Amino acid sequence: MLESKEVTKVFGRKTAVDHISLKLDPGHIYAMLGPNGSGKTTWMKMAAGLIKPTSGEIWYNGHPLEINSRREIAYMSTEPYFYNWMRVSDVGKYYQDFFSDFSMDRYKELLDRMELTGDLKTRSLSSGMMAKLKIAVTMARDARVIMLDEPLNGIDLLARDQIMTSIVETVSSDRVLLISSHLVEELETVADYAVFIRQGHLADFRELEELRMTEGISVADKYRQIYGAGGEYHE
Amino acid sequence: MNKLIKYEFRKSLFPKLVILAATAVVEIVYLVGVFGEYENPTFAGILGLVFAAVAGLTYIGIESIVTLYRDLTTKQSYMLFMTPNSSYKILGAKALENGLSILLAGLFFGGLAYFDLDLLEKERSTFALIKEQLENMLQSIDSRLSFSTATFLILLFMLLCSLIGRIVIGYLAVVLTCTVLSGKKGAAFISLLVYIAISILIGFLMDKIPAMDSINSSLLIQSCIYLGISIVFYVITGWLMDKKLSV
Amino acid sequence: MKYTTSTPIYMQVADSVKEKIVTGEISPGEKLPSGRDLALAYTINPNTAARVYQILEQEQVSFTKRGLGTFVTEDPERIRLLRSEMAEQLLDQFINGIERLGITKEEAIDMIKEKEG
Repeated sequence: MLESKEVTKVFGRKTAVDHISLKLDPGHIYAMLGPNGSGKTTWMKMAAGLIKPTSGEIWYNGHPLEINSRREIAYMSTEPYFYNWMRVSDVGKYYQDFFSDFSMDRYKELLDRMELTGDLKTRSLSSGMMAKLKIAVTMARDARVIMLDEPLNGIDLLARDQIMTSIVETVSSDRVLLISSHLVEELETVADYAVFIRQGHLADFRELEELRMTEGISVADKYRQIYGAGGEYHE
Repeated sequence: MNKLIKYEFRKSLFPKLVILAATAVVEIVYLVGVFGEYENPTFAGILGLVFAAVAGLTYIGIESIVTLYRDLTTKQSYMLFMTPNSSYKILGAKALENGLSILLAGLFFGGLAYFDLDLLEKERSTFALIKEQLENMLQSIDSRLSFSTATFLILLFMLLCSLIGRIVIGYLAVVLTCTVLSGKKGAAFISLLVYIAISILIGFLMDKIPAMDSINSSLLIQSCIYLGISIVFYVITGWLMDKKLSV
Repeated sequence: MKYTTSTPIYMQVADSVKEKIVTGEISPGEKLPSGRDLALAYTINPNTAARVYQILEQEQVSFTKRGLGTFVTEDPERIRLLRSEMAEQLLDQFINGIERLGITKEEAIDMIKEKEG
């Protein structure tokens, strides 16, 4: 459903994403893994249409990404991005105004779970609350592709459990879920595929249970193999 | 498009309220002076009102260009560019909202000025003298000028068109900074040069228009030229945003 | 539930369900949660949950009634066998462990007898 064809992004002299080709199918949770600066965020932003590739193409539903693709793709960035005059309720109204797949009921339900109220001003939210708000508003959309960039960062343990529950609830046969995270262990039981990005390349793409069955190692172990010191790992 | 305009208005609300509040303050000072027949407050009030009008209109004039720059260079950009709106719609909403704001602000300050000067006439007979002076001044600029309603309306229309034109050129400069020139040294400076260059070119173009007998026709032609320019640069800017912009 | 992330998750969840059947926490013939609900209960991927039920059905520990859901077997013989199978598994692990420590089976049996409870 979401396909990346030899996608490359160059910023000045740095190549952030180097000819990445991959295909994401609905009904699965993909964990996008890799250290800071490996290119995960840049790739996600290209899939969201926020960054234009230097070369290569992103295809959605069998044709190149276009403005209307945004109706069905939801991206949650690592940075806060709401207008600073907004309250939590205003954020919901904004999404309702522009996204027909946004459910105000689901938004309120998620806010409740995360203990956020509508009257709070976005500029006075702590980083943890802001992180929760971003998740709530993104997942209140019934999008066909949901991409969460580091959703667990800055979130306390209990809220993390709730978010994982929300993520499992959101899996459906017509939806692609892509989650990037540093917290590899948190995603072990919930993701079914791992996409390893290393220095802008696709280093590996594995089904997790298959990895466990054939190599007897966890995703975290695989991560250490790929990125660990020694670096003799061959793609 | 309406929803986009709604949010553009909301984004620019605070500075407009500040201008409104400041104007209210100086207006009160002026009224105290006129009704109480005090020289100083009246004088101070007039100065304050002129300043508020000039500063207010200038700010509102460039407001949407500044907001666009902010929208494109901060993470707030995600708010706009994750929505399924084409760049043409986004720019269009900004230009419309700003154009209307300028017009309304102009009418507001114009109306306030008329009301305030009228008060002065009731209190002092010098207003009649001032009005005569203004008429003479206008006549000396262009012998065809007069306060006819039709002229006034077409003049407003022309002003709106020229304002929208200038705003769209401003948008182009901002978008150039963020796309084609992105990352290059002195990007903002080059854009400013582009803006100035285009403005000068348009100035030349306007001068070349032969004078018509009727001022209304002249104004209409100028309006059309500004509209044409607006459309051309609007299309170019929208295309650049859609195809080349990364936020 | 604590997982060992280097062995397949679906097997660990299947074992957990089997244990509940053996201890009686889940009764014979009882309806098992839907794939989705199982996924939520164990915080696992729904595809993994589907695999759990596939394996349970293959091993005839459960069966699916079209349109109604997945149910635990009602066959007491099967459940008795399940208990033996799971005990075997534990015994194998135990024996491996003590062998690594160099303890003989006889020593182990004595140690068990001496253990309280």
